[in-house]
Amino acid sequence: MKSDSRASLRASLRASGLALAAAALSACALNPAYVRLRVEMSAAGAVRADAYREIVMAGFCIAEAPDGIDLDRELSSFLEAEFKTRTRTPISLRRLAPDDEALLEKEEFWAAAAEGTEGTLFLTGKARFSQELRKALLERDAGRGEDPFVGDKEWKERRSYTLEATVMLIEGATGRPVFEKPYKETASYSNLSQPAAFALFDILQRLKIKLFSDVLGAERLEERYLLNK
Amino acid sequence: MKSRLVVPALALSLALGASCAGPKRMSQVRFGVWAAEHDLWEEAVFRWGRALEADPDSPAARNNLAVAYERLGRPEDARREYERALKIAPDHPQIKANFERFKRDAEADREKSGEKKEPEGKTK
Repeated sequence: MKSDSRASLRASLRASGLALAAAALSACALNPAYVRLRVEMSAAGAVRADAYREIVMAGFCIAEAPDGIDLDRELSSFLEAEFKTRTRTPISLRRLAPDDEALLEKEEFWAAAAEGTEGTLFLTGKARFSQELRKALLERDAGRGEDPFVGDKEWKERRSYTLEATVMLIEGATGRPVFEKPYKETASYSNLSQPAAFALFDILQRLKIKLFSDVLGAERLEERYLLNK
Repeated sequence: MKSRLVVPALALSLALGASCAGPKRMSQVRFGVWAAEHDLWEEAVFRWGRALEADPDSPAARNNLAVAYERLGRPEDARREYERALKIAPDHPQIKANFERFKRDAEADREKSGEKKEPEGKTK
């Protein structure tokens, strides 16, 4: 009877030893030397908007726009709304951009426009919004039951709209640009009567992604190692 | 039979409990990693700062702090911590990999901010 209980005790001790070893191994596996982590890093933008007291939407110098589109007003109000959602800096709309492109480069003009107040950032630039009809000889889709190897060709037309905009951010204190970059976006439609206003809205959605990533920076997903010991 | 299983089961649960214990049982470095994994970067910085108070030559704490500074948009601090970590452990593969990636990103950011001085397609 006694030897039975000793044997059972020994067996249970052996089992607990094995269990401890297994637990220690699993503990080691749970605590590796490092972990690989995907981290959202903030990529720097060209401008720190919060360093300015005010951002003034000063309008754009317009070279060309389809009839019925006030491109300056559309661009300025769109960018004003977008800046308001992305920064806490107050935004105001004050049309200063002249029709003469050369004035965009004049430091004294912008310094004077700031009226000696510190911390003003002007958003301005030049823009052109053009449209054209493009024709292409394309193969007609074979209908059901038709011979797929006999391809008919036909002329197809598409209406294309292109926005070319150079966006400038000018520091009021110095009158010098702190950011300047040209953007070009095109949208094409098979619907030839697509309104220009609709196309402009489409294009601005694409432009804003690039512009705000350049100006204010963006988050990017990066991989880094964190060490446990 | 049942009593025979009680002791191993108890030992197993104790050992697992110890290994899976929450952050209370962890070192400051490990606690910081746990916080970072849960996106609590300020807490992670605090923990790794505490770890460095105890051991200023901990490459792990310095490396992790550098990553946290990168995450929090403090690149100068991140660079300083990476350089200190590599001074302590110059051949550490993970720290070297992190620092290489940091430098690559910093270079990309520098090129981007260069647009301010030399706008594309234009010479001033």
